[in-house]
Amino acid sequence: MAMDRRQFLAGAGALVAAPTGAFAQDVNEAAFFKGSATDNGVTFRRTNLQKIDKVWRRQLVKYKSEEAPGTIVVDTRNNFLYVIFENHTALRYGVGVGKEGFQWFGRARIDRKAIWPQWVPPPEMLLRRPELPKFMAGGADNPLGPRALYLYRDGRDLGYRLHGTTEPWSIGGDVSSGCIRLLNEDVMDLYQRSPVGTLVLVLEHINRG
Amino acid sequence: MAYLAARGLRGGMMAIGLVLALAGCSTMEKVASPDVTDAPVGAGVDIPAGSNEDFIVNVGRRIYFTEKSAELNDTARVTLDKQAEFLAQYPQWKIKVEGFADEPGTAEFNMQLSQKRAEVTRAYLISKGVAPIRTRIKAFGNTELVKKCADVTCYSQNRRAVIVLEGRSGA
Repeated sequence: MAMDRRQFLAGAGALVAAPTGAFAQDVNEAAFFKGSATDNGVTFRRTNLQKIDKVWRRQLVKYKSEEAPGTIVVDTRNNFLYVIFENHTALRYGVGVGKEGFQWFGRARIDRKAIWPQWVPPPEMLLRRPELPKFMAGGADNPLGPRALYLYRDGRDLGYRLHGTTEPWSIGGDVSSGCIRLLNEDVMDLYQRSPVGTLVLVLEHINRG
Repeated sequence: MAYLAARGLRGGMMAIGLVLALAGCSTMEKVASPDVTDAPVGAGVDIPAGSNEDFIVNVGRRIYFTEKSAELNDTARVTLDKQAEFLAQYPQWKIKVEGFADEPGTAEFNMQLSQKRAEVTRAYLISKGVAPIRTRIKAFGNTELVKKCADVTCYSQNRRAVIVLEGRSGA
């Protein structure tokens, strides 16, 4: 290809900064919301579930693996999160996987949960996007959304979270930042099903072919 | 949960092609049979309102307790409030409130704690408008554990109450 190195890097940078590839620049964001709801004193826009591809919607599926019921499995390659039930079934949610979501895999435990969590952007993100605040209070504009589930290992916060989103069109794709994002309705549902102490297995992310 | 598997196999065969197509290349390596991960179970995303599957997927059947406690926390009350709404909207259902425990101590202690958890849960649902005659209780003590291991990743899952719909007349 005739492209020089500088052009290639500029292009690659733009790709990382863009929203998920499948939806790129032309997404009609307003269409992904319908109505509003109030939760714990915060009024937020509800997701228009009709705009969400059926494969990313919360549903019961078969789940065949060695993992025991009562475990959460995060498949960052295929953009699914499973809550394993009995009888080889699971409740499956679509997720958006952010850059931080690819950076760790293994077994962790939910040691902390939060409602309308505050957000402190990680240092690398502040470097990339200096316009971000250093601290953001919880609320409808906060990218973590209505709930966060914090993953720990041996008592140490891994910096890895399951959280909501202000960009429902990004579910099912890879995004430039954040960990594992779910639709706000789904993360609120997951929060109800995940007592502190729940085991989470994050599958190793193998590059897509 | 066997009924779910039966429904899935009946209705699932037609839906499998669609699920595989939508999931794209991530399932290309999977065998096209209903007994693999991601094969649909039940109605997929178009769950009939008021069905048992609606209750499981959209309301939630379980609440959880902390060690040695039979107290309902805020999270448990959120789920139970939604259950009470569902039961008010769909009066054909009755419920069996199952209590479980996985605490240090004797089987007897666990049985009593699981009974208390079930009673507290039922009492709360009744306080939210569910007619007592629609409810019954079953205590399981530390039997029928969801996960068996000696740490909180298992205990947290086992210390629960499960509200099971029963006795629906008709479809």
